[in-house]
Amino acid sequence: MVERADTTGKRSVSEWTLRPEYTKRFIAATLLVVVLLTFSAQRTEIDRMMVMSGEALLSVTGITDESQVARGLGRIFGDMFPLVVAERREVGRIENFDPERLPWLGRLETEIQTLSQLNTNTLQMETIEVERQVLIEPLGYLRYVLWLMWQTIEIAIWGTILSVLIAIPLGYFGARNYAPFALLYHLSRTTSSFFRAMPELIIALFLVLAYGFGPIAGVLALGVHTSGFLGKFFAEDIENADKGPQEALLSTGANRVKVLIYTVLPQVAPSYTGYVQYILERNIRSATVLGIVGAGGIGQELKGRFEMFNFGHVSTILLVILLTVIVLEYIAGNLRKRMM
Amino acid sequence: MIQFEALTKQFADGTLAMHNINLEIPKGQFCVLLGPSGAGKSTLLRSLNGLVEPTSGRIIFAGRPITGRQDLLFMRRRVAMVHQSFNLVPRLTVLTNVLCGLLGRASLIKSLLGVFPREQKHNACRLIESVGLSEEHVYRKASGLSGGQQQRVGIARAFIGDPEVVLADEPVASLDPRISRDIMQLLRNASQARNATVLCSLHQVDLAREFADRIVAMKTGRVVFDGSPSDLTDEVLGEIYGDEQSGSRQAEGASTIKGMLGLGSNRLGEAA
Ligand SMILES: Nc1ncnc2c1ncn2[C@@H]1O[C@H](COP(=O)(O)OP(=O)(O)OP(=O)(O)O)[C@@H](O)[C@H]1O
Ligand SMILES: [Mg+2]
Repeated sequence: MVERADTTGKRSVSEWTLRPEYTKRFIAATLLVVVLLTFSAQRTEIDRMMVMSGEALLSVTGITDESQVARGLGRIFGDMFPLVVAERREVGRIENFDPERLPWLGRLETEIQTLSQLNTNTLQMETIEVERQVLIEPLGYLRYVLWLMWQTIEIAIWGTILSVLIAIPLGYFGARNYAPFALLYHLSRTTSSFFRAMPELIIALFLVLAYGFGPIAGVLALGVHTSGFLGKFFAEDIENADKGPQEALLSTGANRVKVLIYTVLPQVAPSYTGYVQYILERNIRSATVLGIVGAGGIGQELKGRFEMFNFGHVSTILLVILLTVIVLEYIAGNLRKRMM
Repeated sequence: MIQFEALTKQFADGTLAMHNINLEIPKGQFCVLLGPSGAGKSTLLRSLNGLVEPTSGRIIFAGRPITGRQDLLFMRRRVAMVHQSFNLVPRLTVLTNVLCGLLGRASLIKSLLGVFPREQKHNACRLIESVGLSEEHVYRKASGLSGGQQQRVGIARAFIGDPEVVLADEPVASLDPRISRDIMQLLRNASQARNATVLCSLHQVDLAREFADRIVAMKTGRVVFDGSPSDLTDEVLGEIYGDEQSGSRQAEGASTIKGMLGLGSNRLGEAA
């Protein structure tokens, strides 16, 4: 390149100021972040995590043979297979048992159990053999888990319905142009963000105290939490709707509710459907977890089995959850495609 | 029918959109409002259905001073509006859009359910036919109509409630000249058939001359001309539009180029 003579009073190219790749501020900020992360790593035991994971890796490859992590995971995975799909129940414990009418695929087996018992005459321990009848349903447990999964989906559906019902007033009064007065607007918006901010697991925890174990707490927790999202989305769409048709109807003397139904609703209907569908999807995923705090559904069974170390049952439950979520994603994807 | 008494509107930012407007418009008159952009035509029209609240002065509608909420509702139920950008609800059918003109009177429950009496639906169909649409359009969504057709629906919506006054704010601004004339014709016929008063703002002087019984011209919020179309001489026009009119005529070529470059003001864009 030829350097041109300086005619305009500007500096020649060789004199142009060039900036360094890294500014001092950038370097200082990076150092600060590194120092903060180092402190926090100790508090969150990142160092220990790395050591333990390293040990586990080494023991898997056979270099060392002692690792707490590998042992724990190994034991769980060992117990997870085979999956338990059958249900065995002692006949004596089933109420109103009728041997003539066995459930589907059910069969009776006699098993001999050895018990240690104190003989009251000789005052010595002796083993005796007891015969008892058990009802075996080969797919009984799987059926139970599927039924629980369906209950979980029902919890999610009702949670979504409740959420929409709460979100309708939150959306209406949370729209600046529809709230009758400013206080109500602020109240709605604050309520929405409060509901959004409260994790549903924590809401459920409190509601279990109030309503007891079971689906009620789950439905309420999902409804309340997700209405915070829907309320906000509904309100924003109402605010952004085209003003022209609204003015046109308002000036015929129609009141706000009529104007909303005839001009705003047709406009926002497609996006509202999308929101509700998304909320339903996420509610089904959340509902599987909510049972862990006792709010009904499949999570409650999962937690129980986990605590009893019945990992064979656990893996059946996990498999059902996994398949359900995959099927739902598929259905939701298809629905979305058809709506567009 | 309508009296404006010293009507003044000052917007929150200080703009004086109407200044001491005194007008009396008799029943059945077709009155056209002319004036350059920003003159206050829309503001005047919108004050008649409560979309703009006057700062001072008052409107007397059918002998009733409009002061409170009840008066406003009284006026709104007798006034209909045709809008420049049609303002139909795109996703609703033509029939429902027309019936929307009755929402001011329909019961809340019925309108919540979206049910309209058979008779009203027949009325709507008759209007749809009279504005030049046919059966195939009845259940078509408004978004599936051309601009001219949409304005026809807009007119049908305005007339379904048997209004005593129809406000039309540049009803033909976004339509081509031939369709514009058709729409104006429609507006005049429909209002004559019902002896309805029309207040219509326009930018096309030729259309104003052709259709108006009376022309009122505004400039910077004031009435600067009020008379019959024959009184509207070129001299008066020059006064109304000031230098802008002749200037913009001379500079028509230039304004087109400006428009293409995205430099033209809204008004020049409309004139071009
Ligand atoms: N909501 C508002 N807030 C502030 N100023 C406004 C508002 N609406 C209109 N104005 C101002 O009031 C004046 C009159 O506006 P108006 O819309 O009545 O003019 P117009 O004669 O209808 O013009 P056009 O021919 O361009 O439609 C303008 O200066 C405009 O900027
Ligand atoms: Mg205007």
